[in-house]
Amino acid sequence: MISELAGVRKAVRLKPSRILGLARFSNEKISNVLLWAPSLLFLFFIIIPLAAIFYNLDATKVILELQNPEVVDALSLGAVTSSLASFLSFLFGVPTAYLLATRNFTGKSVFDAVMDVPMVLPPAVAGLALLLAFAPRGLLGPELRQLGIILPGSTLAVVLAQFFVASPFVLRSSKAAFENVDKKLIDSARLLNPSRFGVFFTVTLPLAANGVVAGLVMTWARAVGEFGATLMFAGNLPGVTQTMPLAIYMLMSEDPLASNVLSAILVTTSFTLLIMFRLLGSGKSVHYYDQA
Amino acid sequence: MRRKPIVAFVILVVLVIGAGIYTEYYMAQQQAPVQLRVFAAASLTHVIQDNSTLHAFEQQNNVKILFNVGGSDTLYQQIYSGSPADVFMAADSSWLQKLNQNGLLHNDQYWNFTSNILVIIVPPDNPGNITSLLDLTKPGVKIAVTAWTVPVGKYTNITLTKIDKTWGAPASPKYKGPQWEKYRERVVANVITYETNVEQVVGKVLTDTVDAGVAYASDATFLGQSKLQYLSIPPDVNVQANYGIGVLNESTHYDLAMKYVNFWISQDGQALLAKYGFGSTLPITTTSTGNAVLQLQMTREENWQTPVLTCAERRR
Amino acid sequence: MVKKSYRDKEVLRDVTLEVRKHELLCLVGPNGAGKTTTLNVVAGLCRPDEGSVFINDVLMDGRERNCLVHVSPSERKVGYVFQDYALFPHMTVRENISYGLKARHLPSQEVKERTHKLLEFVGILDHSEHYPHQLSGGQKQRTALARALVIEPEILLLDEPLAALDLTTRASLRVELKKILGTLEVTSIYVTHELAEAYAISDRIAVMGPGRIEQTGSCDEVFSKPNPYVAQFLGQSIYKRFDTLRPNSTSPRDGQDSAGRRSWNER
Repeated sequence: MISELAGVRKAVRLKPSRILGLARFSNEKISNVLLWAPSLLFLFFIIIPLAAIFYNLDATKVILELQNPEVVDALSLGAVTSSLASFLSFLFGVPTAYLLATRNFTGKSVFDAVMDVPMVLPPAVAGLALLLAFAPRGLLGPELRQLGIILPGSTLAVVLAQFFVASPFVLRSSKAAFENVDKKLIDSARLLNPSRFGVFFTVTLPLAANGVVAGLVMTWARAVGEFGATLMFAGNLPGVTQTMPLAIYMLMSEDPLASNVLSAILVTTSFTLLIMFRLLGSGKSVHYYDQA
Repeated sequence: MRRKPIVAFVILVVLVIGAGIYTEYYMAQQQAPVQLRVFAAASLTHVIQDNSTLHAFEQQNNVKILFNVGGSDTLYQQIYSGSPADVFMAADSSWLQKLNQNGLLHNDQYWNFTSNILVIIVPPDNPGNITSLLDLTKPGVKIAVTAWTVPVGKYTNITLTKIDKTWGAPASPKYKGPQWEKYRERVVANVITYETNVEQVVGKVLTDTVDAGVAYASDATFLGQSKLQYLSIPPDVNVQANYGIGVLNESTHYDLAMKYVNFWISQDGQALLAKYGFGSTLPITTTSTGNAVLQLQMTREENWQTPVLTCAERRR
Repeated sequence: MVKKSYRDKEVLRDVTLEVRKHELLCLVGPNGAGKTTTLNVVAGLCRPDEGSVFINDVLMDGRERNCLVHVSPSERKVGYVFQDYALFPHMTVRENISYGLKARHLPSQEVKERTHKLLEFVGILDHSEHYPHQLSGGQKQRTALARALVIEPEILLLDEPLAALDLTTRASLRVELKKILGTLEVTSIYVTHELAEAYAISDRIAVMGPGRIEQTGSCDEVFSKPNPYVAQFLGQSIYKRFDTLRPNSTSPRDGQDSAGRRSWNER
């Protein structure tokens, strides 16, 4: 009996809160601090570089740069290519995600792993790989040339480079979303709907929509910021392949102020769109999955 | 009610794509019927985009020139893989030579059209207090160079090796003392970044990110009008960069491309280059436009044993 | 309506079941016996490794003149009410119910009429524009039922439909369910592990053991002349019930005496 009590007393004496002299703070307060402190630090670490971009900004220079045709070029090019790349990612990513989520076949895990590789590949390596594969003297080059398609130096190449590096995001996200759809719901739909396409578009996709859209947003963001692969595969041709990141990179040495301005513009547009998507998304997700 | 966000998103995407396609199409209409694609080394960025000259050429020949600027090694890789280009201007003629060996140059011809030498550039306020080449070996000094595969990086490597062998080897007739021994090793230890082209090095120096960088005389004298300071490197250890220019075999506008090339070789072109700080040569070499001399040039450089990068250096 | 199935899988070893037209057959058995799987086979969501499934004497799954036949779930005109209702959360009650009709491209007027009729019939007309997460358990169940019935199925499958409800709702809904199914005269298979429920509403009972049907017959037949397995199963249930009523009861076997059984007989 006594030894038991002694054990308990000993344990209490050694509790961290007592050692640190924090015994007067309740468990709740300590856990709050432990939760908020790293979160706020994390936030500051992200905010400070972003703030630095806007700190030294010269308003007149901003307006000047916005009128610079090269800047407008880069902006519109970036917007168009990343949207196209995102659209392609959606078009190809959703069926693939559905396949990986619902079917089993030999080699599935290999297939899965391969589709993840572009995410971990250094962008410059990705660019080189694309070049070696699709440039006129590359692996598939001659065949493409016969079809009249010469990729490097074209805007299409930018789209493909962005598609290559960014599509895994929508693939991952959609796959997880499809896996999370209750199988019974799909079964119910299959019993009522003679068309399998119908089932997919009326039940499966709407229920997975949150995950798919979240993945699309990430894909788009990654495509906008894509640099290494674009530079290598598409080249650095203003107006044709020079997206915002490339333009910023080129300007960094010549005209750091202009580069600063472009960075600010890029950050602002990206942030605005991200916020928009988040707000649009939160409107939807309240609805579902409240059933017991 | 829940369909609306999806619809909105789709409309947004369609609008953006539509706007983009329209802009591209519109701009394509605006462009002159003929496009010339020039792949140019980064150090040439300013001189090739000299406004008045460029516009004059474009107007006279009804052509729009598209510049793809980057490190000569990256450009070579792109051309070699088949990226469409009309003219290639490299900071190292050996890249042209390589293309030639693969039969990718028109008429198997290329020209040496200008030259450059290396200098050490430092930021305007010179925070590292670099006043001599020896200061580069001081511990704690931050240096920027390009990757060894970029022409200026290759020349940097050669210069460092030359200093090692000429001034730092006791057996050498020009031995300058023990403080110059293992020069290359000590300087490389101070290199904190290997950039992809020389413009990036200049950028890093301008923004005080590093204490010193190795760049071309053209970079120093051009921007020196406003900001940079530089140290010259003595001719006995310096390297002359020979810039090559050539027309690609697959160019569909051979005449225009040749016109462009001829401009640079002509008096007007040479004057423009001089204005931008190009054309500096080293006394021991001869400037010429002959290929034979060019070959000689290259062999002479290659005689200096360029040390293979050790693992430690590569990891940086 | 006749339906047979015989299957050899880890889950179902040998299931032979026959449901008569317009009757409500209760499928009872312990958890894991394969009741849900049986329903899935009937519905076409699961293909049997061996054996055949007939609905209205038409082959749904099996071999016919050396051809392997599998009729897809939607072609079978099967209604299915799941245990957790499986209502489409992104659609209103009305949209849930009319889903089956709209998917078959029926004229919108007919869709509206039939949906309305069914909404009235199951008694959730005032909630027709609500979403599933806004409904109570009982209302959800009615919606699920309506959704299954709207396509006028040949056979209705119910997988423990009342299991998620509280006792009072369960009791009242059970009565209503029996009334509805009786009125519509729809052939049904009702899965449950609550014997009382089975006894209360079924026309016939089939008791299932692990992977096979142990005994089929009317309630009285099964309860008065159980085979050994069924007896044990019944006894265990009785024992459990008995236990709550009278803590000092006798052993399960003894509990089979008529007095004990009838004491909680709710009929």
